[in-house]
Amino acid sequence: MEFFDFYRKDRWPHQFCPGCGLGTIMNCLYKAFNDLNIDIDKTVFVSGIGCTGRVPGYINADSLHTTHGRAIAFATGIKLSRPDLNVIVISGDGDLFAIGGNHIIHAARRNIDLKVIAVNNANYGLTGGQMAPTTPYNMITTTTPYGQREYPFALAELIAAAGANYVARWTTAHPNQLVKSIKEAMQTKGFSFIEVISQCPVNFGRRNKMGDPVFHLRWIKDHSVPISKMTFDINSPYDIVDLNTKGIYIIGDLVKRNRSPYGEIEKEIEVKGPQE
Amino acid sequence: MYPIINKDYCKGCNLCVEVCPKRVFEKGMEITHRGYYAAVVKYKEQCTNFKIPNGGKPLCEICWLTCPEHAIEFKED
Repeated sequence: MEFFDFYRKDRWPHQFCPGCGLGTIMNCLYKAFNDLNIDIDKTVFVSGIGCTGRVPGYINADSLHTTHGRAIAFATGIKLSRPDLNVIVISGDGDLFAIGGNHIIHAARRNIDLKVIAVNNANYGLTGGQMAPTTPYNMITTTTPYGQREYPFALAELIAAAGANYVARWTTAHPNQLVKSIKEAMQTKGFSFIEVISQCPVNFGRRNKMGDPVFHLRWIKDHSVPISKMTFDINSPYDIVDLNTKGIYIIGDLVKRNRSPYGEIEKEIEVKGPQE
Repeated sequence: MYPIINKDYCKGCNLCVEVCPKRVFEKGMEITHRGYYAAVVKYKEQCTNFKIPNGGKPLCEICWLTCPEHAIEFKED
């Protein structure tokens, strides 16, 4: 599969800002699909609203551009009615976690066979850079000109606690690892979640002295710690979620479980029949 | 096999200059027809894929993977 068999060439060049991390994620998505040789005619891409919601419009496959925050709800419906399709949700942090927070938590708890790629750029990039639930502490956005005074969500840890089968966090500064992670998620049964920290130089970086995409990528690279270097000592000054509030991201595979997904639990009950 | 930059797609973010470990790319000084300062391939013989014969799979694709605009392609000699 060539690059422009996967993406629509008539829509290229895409309309994201110069230096946006979404293009890197699109390259990684193509490479993972190309290496695994997945049929894109058997794949549905679902997205919500936001910059990331525009990505499935460029993919040469069936896609849904849904209402704000309800991407997971639509994807659940597709997966339950057509279990033979791969359903991939690509959406941003504002769509999946701000307005659609409960949908994704309960989808992870039910362990529905969805692959979710959440692109976290730490603000509402499309609407002008307002503060989001993922903005790190003390970062400046349009609506927090004196610095953010709330603590952000730790997205990957939240989904890991909710009970997903595969949870990972990578950044756009680690594209090769991200490709491996997408491949792993595609081969995992059950709810697979990948958080990708992405740069938003125009709306987030510009207000935090990182207007050049190169500076923002360097900041992401400096502020990411591999999970193998983390120590889970209870007496240490920072725990894993505290680091996230300071804009330090723990990268790596957080959780690999082997729970049976939502559809298969029903099948098991049908086979066994009622208990006497 | 060496990288070339497609000036129709490049938006001049210079991420390829940052991520390339062999410093093949350099910031561009000339404005393209789309109004961006597109990066240029300065030292193509330093590229890891340069010694690979025709038809080989690229060893390092970090610039290709990082380029948000898909402006970098690998060209055979």
